[in-house]
Amino acid sequence: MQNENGEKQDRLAIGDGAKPEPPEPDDFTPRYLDAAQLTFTRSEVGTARLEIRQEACYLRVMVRRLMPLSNPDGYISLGADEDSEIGILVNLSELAPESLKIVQEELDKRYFTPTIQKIYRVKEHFGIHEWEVETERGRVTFSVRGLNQNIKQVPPARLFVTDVRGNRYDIPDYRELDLQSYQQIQRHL
Amino acid sequence: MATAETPTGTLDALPDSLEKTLQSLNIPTEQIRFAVQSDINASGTYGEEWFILTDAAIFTLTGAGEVLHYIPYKSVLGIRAEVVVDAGLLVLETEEGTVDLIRYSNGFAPKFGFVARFIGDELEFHKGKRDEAPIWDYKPEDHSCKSCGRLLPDEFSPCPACTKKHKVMLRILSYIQPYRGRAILYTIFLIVGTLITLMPPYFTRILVDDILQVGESDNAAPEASETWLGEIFRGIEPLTVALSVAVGMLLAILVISTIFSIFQQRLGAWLTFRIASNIRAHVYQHLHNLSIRFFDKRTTGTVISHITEDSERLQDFMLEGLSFLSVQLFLFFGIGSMLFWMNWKLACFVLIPIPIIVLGASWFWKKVRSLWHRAYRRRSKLFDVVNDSVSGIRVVRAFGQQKDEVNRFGRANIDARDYETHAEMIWSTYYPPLMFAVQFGTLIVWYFGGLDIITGPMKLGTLFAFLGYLAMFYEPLRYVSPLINWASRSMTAAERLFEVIDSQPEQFDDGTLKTMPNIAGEVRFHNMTFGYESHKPVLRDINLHVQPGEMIGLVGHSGAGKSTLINLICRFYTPDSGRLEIDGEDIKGIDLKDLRSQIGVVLQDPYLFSGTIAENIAYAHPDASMEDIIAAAKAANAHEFIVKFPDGYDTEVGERGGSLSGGERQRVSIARAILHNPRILILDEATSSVDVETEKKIQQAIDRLVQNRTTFAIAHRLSTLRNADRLFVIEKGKGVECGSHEELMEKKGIYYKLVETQREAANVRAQVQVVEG
Repeated sequence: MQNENGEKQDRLAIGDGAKPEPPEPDDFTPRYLDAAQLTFTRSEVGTARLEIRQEACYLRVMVRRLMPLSNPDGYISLGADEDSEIGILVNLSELAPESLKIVQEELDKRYFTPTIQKIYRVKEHFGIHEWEVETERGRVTFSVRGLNQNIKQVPPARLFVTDVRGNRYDIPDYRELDLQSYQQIQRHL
Repeated sequence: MATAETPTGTLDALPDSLEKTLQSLNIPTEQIRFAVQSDINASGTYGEEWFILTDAAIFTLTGAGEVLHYIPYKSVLGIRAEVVVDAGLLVLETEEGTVDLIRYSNGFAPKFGFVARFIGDELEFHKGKRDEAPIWDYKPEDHSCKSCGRLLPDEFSPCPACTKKHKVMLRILSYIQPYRGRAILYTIFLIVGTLITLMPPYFTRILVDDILQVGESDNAAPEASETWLGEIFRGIEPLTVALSVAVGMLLAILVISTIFSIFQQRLGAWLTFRIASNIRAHVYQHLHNLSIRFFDKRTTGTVISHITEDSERLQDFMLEGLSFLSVQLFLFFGIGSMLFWMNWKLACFVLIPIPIIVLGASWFWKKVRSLWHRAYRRRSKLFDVVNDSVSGIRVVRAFGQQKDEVNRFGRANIDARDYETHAEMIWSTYYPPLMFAVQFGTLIVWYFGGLDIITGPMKLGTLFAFLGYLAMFYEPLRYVSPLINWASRSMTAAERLFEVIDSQPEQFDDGTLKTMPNIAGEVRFHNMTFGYESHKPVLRDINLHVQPGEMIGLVGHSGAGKSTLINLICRFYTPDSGRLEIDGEDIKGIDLKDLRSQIGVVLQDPYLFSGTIAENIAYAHPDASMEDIIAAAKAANAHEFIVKFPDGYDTEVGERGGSLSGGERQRVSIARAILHNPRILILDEATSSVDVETEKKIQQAIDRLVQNRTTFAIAHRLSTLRNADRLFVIEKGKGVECGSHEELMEKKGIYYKLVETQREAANVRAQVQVVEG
């Protein structure tokens, strides 16, 4: 027991130390947060602030998806910083509308991965495939080297395309694309 | 305020309109230190946004000139480039709080990473935490071709657009140079062999027209033969003799053609394997001169496939494809002209199905290839499933998951079945029609040729010869498409091989390299920063001066950058900024041969090559005497176990040293280092994977080894570093503490905490052992 405490102090001391301490003393029981107790607000400088009623206030809360691919709107981890988790929010939709909006903005900031909605064309020149696509973040053109290594398929039909600059694009289900886009995919895969 | 030089123009050039916007805010252009463009705007859609540093403030502007942030430089406490999922975020710590300043996609991360590093260093400099103002040394990573501007397939490759396919072919042929004579002979065989192949149908014609038909129509007045050879045969009496002569000639042709074919193929094999093996040797030799970065960017599998698969593919093509292609091409034109010479009208009819065959075949092969590829992917997935569950069979049984594994296999199996069936069925559906198109050509000839015979002008023999040629004529057409594919894939394989040969070697000897046959062992890091990707520094501002013969213990959490530091001393990588000096000489300028011959490495899991123990100890010095080897083994505490082996020093260590235990391997590797007699010694967790007793032996050996050598040692067990003269503590890539064990314990900093934690852990272990005992 003594040893455990010692390690714990050590860990905190290595971290920033200035952050408010999470209320639960142990590290190994996941803490599920009650959406009704949470209020998110925007600070003056624009960061997301979290208040847990009658407990604590965090100045810059960090939101992370635990299942970003399979369940993007569920199981959101809220953190005080990189290393310390405040707790887990199981269902986003239980939040009050204003809070929900802020959390979604923060998620949007952290998870950029654009979703490809339409493929205008894929052209190959000497092993480099140039894609022109429409995403929810706007129209964009990017280059992909050697399709095999840079297109990852997640069964059954989800595709992740990584371009030469390290950006990743998501096609949630290529079978549901419009005919023209689908044909482009078929032609090059 | 602006103390550091920031040459403008090395980052993005600010558009005039935005310059005017700033002017309207009373900021003249001279005050703008630099501007950086981003490609994502605050709302998360693609769009232009600007980060601007002026003498007194940080701005962000939209592309339209709207000010988003204005933060006085004085109030900035810190800056960092945060990596988020598939994008980046520049975050500012100010007196008012944390500000998310500007967003950018991954492509802009190196640029913003540099900006954050530069401003961060400058802030520290102003606070007096750094002696020198940061240097503006931004180097944009450019992976496009210097001559055509196209993106390169990867950092090290030559531009595929600028290396022309025929140039690749020429380059392959340049490897023939040493075997010129045989190559010419080969070509002669090829041409003559092909010409001979063209003869049998011609003889058929004579056989029919000038011998058999003449015999049949005795009473008809014999017409003149259409060929000179036919005329000669007409002159031979009786017909049976003529027949025997003709058949005999056919036999001779067949025999000659067989002999030619034997010689041609033997010679072809001889040439091909020599060329392929020469290319392979060249590639392999070059591979060992490449920088470690080349290997970082590729998996071991890719590199191996470079030397094996690519050269095999090239070899196969040269052996079979190339001669097939040239023979068929030769035949196509040879037969084509033959057909036109015999009967140009009929030859025109023959051409009719050609476009259909060629187009149909290329469409067909393209379709079938992609289907086969897909089926192949399913099959390899099926093998993965098997591999997965068989390798993990104990886990499967322990968790009672047999049924699920069987189901998983079943699904993959059915998937593979369906795709393979589909591919085969498509093949079966479209291949026969293709054959039909070929047969159709024959039908045309039968009909129109037949008409010609009935109406008189053509003879039966000509028709037979025509049909004989036709089969040879259409044959290659069906394979045009796969052959072209084969050719182009082989050229790509060749290109990849040449890419390795053309990649930049680790060090370029331009004559300025410093030879240092006798290194004293002084090592000095001076404000050194390094990252495997330059925008993510792993080590920052390392300053350390090590005297010759000193032993330095490197301490820090895993991932702190200890191994990276060692990689830099070995010069597997070069610093991004700052200097690393050996004996006062910048490491970049030292001849690698000299440097490496004086650095010795003992790793946690030492790599032994297959061979005997003696060979492994003498790895770096194959000419070492047996006395030297034994002396090294003695000093490494290895001799004692080696003598116990029935084969002694001749014991085969097996693949990767598999037949030795971890501790034994370790001692062999120490003996190897002792024999190597390096001036600079690196110990990377040399004692971490062995039991206490063996550790003692190894420790003894190491103590002998480090005598009079500059040593860098990494150890998780801090007790193994007790002999170190100084300890250098690295925390998140920065050197945070440096001093002797006593000094650092007194300081009660990070090292002190690490020691305390380990002591407690050791106590717990001791208690547990007591209880269990």
